[in-house]
Amino acid sequence: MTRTVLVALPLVVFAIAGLLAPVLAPVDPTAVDLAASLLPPSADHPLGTDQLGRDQLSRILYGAQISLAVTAAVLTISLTVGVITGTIAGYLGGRADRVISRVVDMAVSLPGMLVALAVIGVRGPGVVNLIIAMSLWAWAPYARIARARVAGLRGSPHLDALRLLGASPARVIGRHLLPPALAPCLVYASTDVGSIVLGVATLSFLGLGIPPPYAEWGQMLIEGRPYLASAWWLAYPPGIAITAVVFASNLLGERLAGDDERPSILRWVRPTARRRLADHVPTAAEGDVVLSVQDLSVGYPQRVVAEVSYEVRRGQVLAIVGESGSGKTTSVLAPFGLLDPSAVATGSATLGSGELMGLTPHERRLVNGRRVGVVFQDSLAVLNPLRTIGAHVDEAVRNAGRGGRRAATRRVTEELLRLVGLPDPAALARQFPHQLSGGMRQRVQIAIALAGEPELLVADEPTSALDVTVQAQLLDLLGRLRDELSMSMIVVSHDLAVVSRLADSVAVMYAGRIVESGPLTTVINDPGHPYTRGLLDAVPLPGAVPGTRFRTMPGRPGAGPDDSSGCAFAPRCPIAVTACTNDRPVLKVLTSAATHRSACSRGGA
Amino acid sequence: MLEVERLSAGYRNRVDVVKDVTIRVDAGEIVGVVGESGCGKTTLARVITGLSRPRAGVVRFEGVDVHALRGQALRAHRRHIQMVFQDPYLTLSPRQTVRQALTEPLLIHRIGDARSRSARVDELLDLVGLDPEVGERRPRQLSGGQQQRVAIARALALEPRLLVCDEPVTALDVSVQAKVLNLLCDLRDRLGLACLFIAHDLAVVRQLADRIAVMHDGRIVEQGPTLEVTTDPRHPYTRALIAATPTIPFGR
Amino acid sequence: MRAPGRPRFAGRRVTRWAVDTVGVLLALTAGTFALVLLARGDPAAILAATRAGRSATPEQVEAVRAELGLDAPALVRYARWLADAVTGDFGLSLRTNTPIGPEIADRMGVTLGLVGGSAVVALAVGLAVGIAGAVLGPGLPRGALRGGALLVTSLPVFWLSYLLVLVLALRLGLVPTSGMAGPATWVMPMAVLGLPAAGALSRVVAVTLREALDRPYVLAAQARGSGWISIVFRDGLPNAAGPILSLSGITVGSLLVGTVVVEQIFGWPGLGDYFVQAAAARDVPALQASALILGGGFILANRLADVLQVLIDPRSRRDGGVPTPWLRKGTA
Repeated sequence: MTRTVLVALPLVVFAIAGLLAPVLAPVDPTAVDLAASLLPPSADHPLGTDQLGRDQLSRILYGAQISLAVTAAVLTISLTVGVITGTIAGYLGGRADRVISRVVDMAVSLPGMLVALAVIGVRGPGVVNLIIAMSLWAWAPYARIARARVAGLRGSPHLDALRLLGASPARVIGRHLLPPALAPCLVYASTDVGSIVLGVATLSFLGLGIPPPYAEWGQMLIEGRPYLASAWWLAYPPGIAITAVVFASNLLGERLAGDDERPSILRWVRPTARRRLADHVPTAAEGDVVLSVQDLSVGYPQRVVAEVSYEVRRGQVLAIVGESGSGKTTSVLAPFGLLDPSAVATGSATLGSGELMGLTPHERRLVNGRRVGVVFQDSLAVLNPLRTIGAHVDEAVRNAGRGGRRAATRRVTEELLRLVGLPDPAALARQFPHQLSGGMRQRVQIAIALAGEPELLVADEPTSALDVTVQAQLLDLLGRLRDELSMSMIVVSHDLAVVSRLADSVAVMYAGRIVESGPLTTVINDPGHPYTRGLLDAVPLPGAVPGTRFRTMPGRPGAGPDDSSGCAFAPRCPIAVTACTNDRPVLKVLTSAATHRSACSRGGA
Repeated sequence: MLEVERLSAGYRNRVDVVKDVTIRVDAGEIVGVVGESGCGKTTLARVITGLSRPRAGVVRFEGVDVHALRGQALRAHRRHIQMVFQDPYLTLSPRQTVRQALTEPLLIHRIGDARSRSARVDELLDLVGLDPEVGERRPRQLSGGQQQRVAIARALALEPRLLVCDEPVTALDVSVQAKVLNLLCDLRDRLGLACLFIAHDLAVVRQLADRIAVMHDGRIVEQGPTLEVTTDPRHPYTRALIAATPTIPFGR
Repeated sequence: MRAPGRPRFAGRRVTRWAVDTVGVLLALTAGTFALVLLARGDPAAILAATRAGRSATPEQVEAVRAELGLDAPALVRYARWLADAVTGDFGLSLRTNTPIGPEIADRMGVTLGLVGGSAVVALAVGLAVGIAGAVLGPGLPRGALRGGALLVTSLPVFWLSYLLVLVLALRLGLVPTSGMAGPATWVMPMAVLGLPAAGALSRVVAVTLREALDRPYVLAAQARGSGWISIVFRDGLPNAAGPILSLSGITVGSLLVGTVVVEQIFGWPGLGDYFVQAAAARDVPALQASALILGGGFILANRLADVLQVLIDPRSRRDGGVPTPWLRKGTA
C-alpha cells in the first residue's frame, strides 16, 4: 500500500503543481526580460531562464496547469461517455449491444494520434480543439471495459436473483452494474493519464497543440531544442516532468491491475530436503512400499499441510479424503514438485528407494511421466486447448522415452487410448480437447498418465466434475487398471462414498493434518476420530425415511494446521475436553487393526 | 399449489431442452427433481420462476398462469416464488454486506420503515441459523455454507410460498451440505414452505424429498413417492442412476 | 463432434473478418472525408488564393469551386472523392497547387522503410525481453528488464530523440544528427521509433505469457515430465499468442503513426512529415490523403493480426474454455 502511494507521488506533485500554479510560481511565466535571457539556475531563477528571459520554473508550473486541465477534461468526458455507453450496451445485450460494440471496436482500432492530428489539422490548435480531438478516441476503451464487465454480470445468478426479487432495471443498473463497471475503468484511467499528458505534449511539440506564448511542456521542448548542448536547463526539466508523470501513471496502472510477485513457474518447487534416512526404521513390508512420505509440510509460507506421513503399497489404492482446504491435494502433489512455485515444502518422500524431495528439474523429469502418472480434476483446464489429443499423448510417450519416429510414437499413443477404453483412437487423436466430453477427456488424462508405464498413479478428484453414471464407469476403469497392471494409486476425493468403491486404505485429512488412517472397512465401520464420525454422519443413507435430519458438526471447517496449539478439530468436537485445545494429539495405533491410527487424545472414547 | 402442465422450453428458443414436462408441488411439500447435467433441470427451474419463457405448456401458481402476468400483478406474484442458485457466491453482490443484501428485497417492495426492516433482517438471520454479527460481513468473508444460508435468507425475506432450489448444495462440502439440507427440512416444518429441489445427486434427494421426479434428456421418465421410486424403480434410466450412485459400504 | 472443426469454422470467421475489414476501411474513408465538413475556412478560397499568390477575387473563388465540384451535395462529393482516391487521385494540395497522389507515392518509400526497420527492432526486442520477463522470477534481472521497459515506454519520443542526439551525435559523434544519407542515419530514427514500441510489447508479452504459464495445463505438462523449453514454446506462447499478436498489430500500426513525430525530428521527407505539414497549413485534401493512407495502414496491420489469431485457435470461441484458478481444490 505504501509503495503504491510512493509510486503515485509524481502524479500527486503534478496535480498540486497544476492546481496551485498561480500561487506557487515565483513570477509571471510570460514576462519577457531579454536582459536576463539564458541565465543558468540561480537563487532568483531556480531553473534558469529561457532565450526570452522567462522564468523556467514558473513556465514548468504553468505547463503542469495546462496538462492537468486538458487531462482532467478528457478523462471526465471519456469516462462518462465510455462507462455509460458500455454499461447500456452490456445491459441491453442482443442487437443494441452488437451495434454499439461494433462502433466501440472501430473507435478503439482508430489510431488516436492520427485522429487528433487530423481534427486539429482542420480545426486549428487551441485548448478546446485539443480536448475534442483527444476525447474523440479516448472514450472507447472505457466503453469496452465497462461493456465487458456488465455483459459478464448480465447472465449472472446475482442479477437473476434481483429480477426475481422484483428489482427494477434502474435499480439493477444504478446499484449493481455501474459500480462494478466503474472500478476497472478507474484502473485504466490511471494509465490513461500518462497517455493523455504524452499526447498533449506530442501535439504541442508538433506545433499543433497549445500555441505559444502559453507555457506547455512539449512547446518548451521545441523552444529548448537549439540550446540542447549549451543551455541544458531549457530542454531537460520539461522532458523530465513529462517522463516522470507518464512513468508514474504507467507504474500505478500496473500496480493497481495487480502485480504478481510469485516466483517463476519454471523454477520447479525445490524443497529443502530433510533426509532423515538414518532414523528410518525398516518394517516387515518394506519391499512392498511404492511411495513413502514422511513428515511432509507445505507452506506459502504459512503452512497448509503439516507433518503428513503416508505410504502406498504395491497394487493398493490409498484414498485421501477431506473437505475443501484440508490440504489433501497439496499433500499428494508436493512429493512430485507439482505445486505453485511459491510453495515451500519440507520433509521426505521416497519412491522405491530414491528420495524425491530436493530433486533438480532434470531429475524430476526422470520421475514424473515415467515412474509416476498424474490425473487432475479439471480435464478441460489441464489439456492445452490449442493442441490435439494426439499431440498431448505423443509428448507423454516421448517424455517417457518410449517414442520413436512420428508414426511409431503415434502407434503407442493409439494403443494407450485404446487401453483406457476410448473408441477409434486414430480419429480421436486428431481432435481438440474442447471437442470431447468430460468423461472422455478424463480417460485421455489417464492415457497420458499411463504413457510411462508408471508404478504409481496419482488421481486428484478424478471424477468430481462428472455425472454419476460416467463416474461409475471411470471408477471401474481405474479398478481394472489396478487389477490388470497391479498399479498402485493415490486417489484424492472430498467424497468418501466415491472412493469406497476403489480404495484399500484411507487417510482422512482435517486442517492440513491426517487425523485418521487405516484400512477402508475398518475406518468406515469403526471410525476412531470424531471428525471421521461426523463426516460419515453427513453422508445421506439409502434407506432413510424422507425428511430424516442429518447429525451435523457445529462450526465451520477452514482452519489452518498452525491456527491453534491443540487439536484443530477441538472447537467443533462433541467430545472435546480442555486438554484438547492445548495439546496437539498425534496419530496413535488403535486396537481395531494394526494399521488403523487416529489422532485423538480421547482415543477410544 | 404449483402446477406445471405439458411444459416445453428451449434455450434461446432453439432446440427444446425441456420436453412435455408435467409436475406439481403441493403446499408444504418437498419435491425432488433428479437428473444428470444437460437434462434440462435448470431450464425447468428458470421457466417455473419466470426467468425464462416456455415454448409450450403452462405454469400455474394457485391457478394463475405465471407467464400471463404483467406489471404490478407480476411484481406481486414474484413474492410467492423465490429461487436458490447453485453457487451462492455468485448470487450475492461482493460489495454488499449481508445486512444490505437482506434489506434489498424489503426496499424493492417498500416494506416497512428502517427499524422494522432491521428487525426483519435479524429475524431472517436467526431463521437460517446465522449469528447477528455475520450481518456486517461481506460474502467473501463467509464460508460456502454461510453464503448459501444468506442466499436462502434473502429468498425468504418476502415470505414466499415456494422455494425453487437449483443444485443448492452441489458447491458445498459434505458436512456443510448436511446442515443446509437440515435447514430446508426445518423451514418446511416451521413455515410450511414448499420446495422444488433440483439436484444431480440422487443420494441427497432421496433423504430429503417427499416425492421424486427423474429427468432424462428433457423428459420426466418416472415420478412418484420417494421410497417407491428408489426401492422399486420402473424406468431403466432410474435403475442405472440408482446403481451408479455411490454409497458407503457399511458393514462390508 | 467427430469432424475436425478447424477449417469450416475458420472459413466462416475469415469471411466475417473480411467483411468487417472492408466496413472499417469504409468508415475510415467516411471519417476522413468528413474532415472537410469540420474544416474552418473555404477550401476553394484557400486554393484560389494559393494560385493567385494573394487573396482571390470572388470570381476566381467561384471558378475554383466549380473546378473542384464543391457545389454538389456532400454525399455526391464523397462518392466522387472515394472513386478518385481508389485510383490514387487525391486532388490538388491547397498549399502547393500540385497533385497529391504522386507526392504521396514519392514519400511512401521513406516511411515504409522506417516502419519496417523499427518494426523489426520492436518485435525482436519486445518478444525477447517479454519472454525473459515472464520466465524469470522476482529479482534484479527481472526488475531491471521490467523497469527499463516501463521507462522506455514512458519517455516521449521527441525527448528520447533529444537524449540520443545529445549522446550519440553531439558527444560521441557516432551518427549524424539528422537527414537520411547512409546507414548511420537510420540508427537513431529506428531506435527512437522501435524501442518504446518494444517496451510496450514486452510488457504485454510478459504479462500474457505469465498468465498462460499459470494455467493448469502447465502443471499437467510438468506432471508428464515435459521440460521448460517445451512448456514455454508449446504450451505458453501459443496460448498467449492472441493478445501478443493483436498488440503486435497495434505496434506496427502505431509505428506508422509514430513516423509523424520521428520524421519531423530527423528531417526525413516521409508521409508523416507530409501529414504534419498539411495539418499545420490546414491543407485539407493533403490531410485527407495522408490520414487515409496512414490510417488505412494502421487498420490493416491490426486486422491482419486479428485474422492470424483466428487461424491459430481451434476453438470456435476464444472464451470456450473456462479458466480455472491455480490448483483449485474441492467440490465440483
